[in-house]
Amino acid sequence: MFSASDYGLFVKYFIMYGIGFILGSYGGLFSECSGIINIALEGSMVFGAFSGLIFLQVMNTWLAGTWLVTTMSGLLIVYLLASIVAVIAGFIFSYLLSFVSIKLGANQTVVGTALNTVAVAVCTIINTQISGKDSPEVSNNIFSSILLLDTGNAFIDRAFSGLNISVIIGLIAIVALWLIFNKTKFGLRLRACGENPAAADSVGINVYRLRYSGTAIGSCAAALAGFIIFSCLPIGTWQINALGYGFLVIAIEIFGNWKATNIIFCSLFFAFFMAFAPTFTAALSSSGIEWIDGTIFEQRPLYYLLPYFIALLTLVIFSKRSRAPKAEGIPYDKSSR
Amino acid sequence: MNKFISGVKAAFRPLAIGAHSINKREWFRNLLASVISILLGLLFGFLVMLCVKPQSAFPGLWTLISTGFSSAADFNRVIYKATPMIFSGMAIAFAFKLNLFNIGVTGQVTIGAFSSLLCGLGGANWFVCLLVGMISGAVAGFIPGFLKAKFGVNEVLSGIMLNWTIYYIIGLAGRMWVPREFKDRINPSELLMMPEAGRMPSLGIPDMQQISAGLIIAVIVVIIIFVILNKTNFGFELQMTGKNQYASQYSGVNQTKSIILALTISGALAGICGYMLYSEPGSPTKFLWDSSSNTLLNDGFNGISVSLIAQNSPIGCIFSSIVLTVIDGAQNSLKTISENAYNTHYTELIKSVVIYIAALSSFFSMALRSLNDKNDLLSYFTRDKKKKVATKEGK
Repeated sequence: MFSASDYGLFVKYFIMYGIGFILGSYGGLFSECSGIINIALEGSMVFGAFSGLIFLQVMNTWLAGTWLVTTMSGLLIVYLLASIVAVIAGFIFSYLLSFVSIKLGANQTVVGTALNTVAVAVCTIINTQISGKDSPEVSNNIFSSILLLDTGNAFIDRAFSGLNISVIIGLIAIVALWLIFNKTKFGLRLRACGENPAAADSVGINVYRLRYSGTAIGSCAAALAGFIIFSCLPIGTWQINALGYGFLVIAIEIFGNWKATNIIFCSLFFAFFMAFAPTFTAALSSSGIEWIDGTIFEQRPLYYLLPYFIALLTLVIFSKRSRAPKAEGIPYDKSSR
Repeated sequence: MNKFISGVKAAFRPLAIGAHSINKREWFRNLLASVISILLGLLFGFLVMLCVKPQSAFPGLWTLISTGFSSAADFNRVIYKATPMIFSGMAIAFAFKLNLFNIGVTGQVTIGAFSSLLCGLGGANWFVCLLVGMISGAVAGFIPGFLKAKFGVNEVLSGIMLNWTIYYIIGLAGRMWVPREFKDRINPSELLMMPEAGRMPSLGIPDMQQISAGLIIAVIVVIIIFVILNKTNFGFELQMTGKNQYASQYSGVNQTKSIILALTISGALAGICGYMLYSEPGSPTKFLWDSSSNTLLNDGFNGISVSLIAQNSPIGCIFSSIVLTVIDGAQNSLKTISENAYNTHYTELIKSVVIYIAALSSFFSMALRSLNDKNDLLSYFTRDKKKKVATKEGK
């Protein structure tokens, strides 16, 4: 039933979701380990993906006809710039969360929830101003014809066409973030701020500054993750919503027990199922099975259901051992030391 | 001149004393914080409109505020749209009393809507449908509560997972088990409209036929929830657990019971919201069961906004949901008045900014409280008298 191109499609989804989820949950990890609950990861993803995609669109009109937008090597540069734009967008976005939750002591869950809607609203309005469309739509396939591979090998063609340089940047970022979190003084201090900010402060660590940077790094990572997922997802037009992936990465992060290495495996686990559902159902429907009257194993929703259901079960098994950063969600007040 | 100032101060003295004493109340500070956030949100929206198209910014602002009340039809719309939102807002607010963020409201709303619709299509009357919606929502709310209490699963996580699980289960059920005659003929991915018997009875106010018994139920439920929270042992235990988990545990509150009950009641409220969304008198919306769009129902998330603006007060939920629907309802008039310069997303922006600022309410509340602690306002109006007495004695 499965052909080489089906496997290829699966690999493409797996790479895209895998890297996106790892980066996104590292985003959650960095901000939660510094002591700020970041529910706004969904918003960061939307903001990052939107600014990257709109940058691509603007570049496409500005540089129309030049080698930058008509050859694959030119697109390397353009996509590199777009990823940087996405990261910068995430950086700016993070201050909307960190400022109010560090300086003004706001409820972080609430601010995060509000920011998710702020991000979507701001992006739709900017989109209307730039492209003149009334509906929340950004096309994410303007370069898909150039990014098409044609090597003759169906597997490789299907697996790697449509992917862009942001995937590789994401891979580098994952390695860098892992090293920062586990092997540097900064990472250790960050975790100290999430566990016991008063103790960290007493040995001369600037808790506020570390929390700002933790949230900023987290938001940047999530923004890049959003750009990776939504610039590679073969959907044509993107509706300016993060499809709940921002919440999913928080789930992955808790599932991974706030440990950088565990998170990688959990993300890959989720990515496997997320990739499995669309490829398997695509393969089924191409083999001509009628959906409505089929047996339960031929129903599309069943396979989309799987990752969430399995995650729920694993959560039940592993939650007893999970241990969140102690000072998470509590605004640090120097005078209470 | 001095005499004039002291006269003014004397005139305002009772007002200042009144403000001081009312500012001691928590509900007042919360109310003020909500009002401030709504006003600042509107101001922000106004500034954005001013930047985009200055000449229609003032009419735009007026449209935003007044559209909901400009005609009977508009007011009708505001009320019937607000009714389900009161319930979803209360669902969130109730769980928040225990510091539980019931993000699974979306799933509970969806399952409530789906099961009550099936019941209604099967021929049940409206009250049975409501009960079925409520019970199915309660079951969906029980699951994260049980998992939280027994296995320590984070309720945000299990809520999110359950949202999607329920969403796809409904998709599966729609494909597999829902009979053909319940589905729309033209677009089979929708269920049929709720039949007449299953819809909420209209209150029969002339020109406002869509205002239904749901509004009265909402008010009654708000009062019930208020009484449960403030006048019963269970409510006291809930609030105590929310404020200090360890203290309540120490004084013998059954945490497992509180958590499970709080989330179940929250789910039941969400289930009622689900029923009401698809069964107002007039022409109810059709329920899209097909899960191909991969987006959850928005109404659960609206509940979060309602509750946040109301500062998690059940009574406040009534007003905040009306405010949100008023802003929402102005979409089209805003578009016409500005000749398409302000599209439908401006109201979304304003709403989200209102929520964002509402999240800072603890900051406003603190500022208001410190105003009381320092006695600045009060002393400005009352100190004057003492000073004068002192100078007279000096002479």
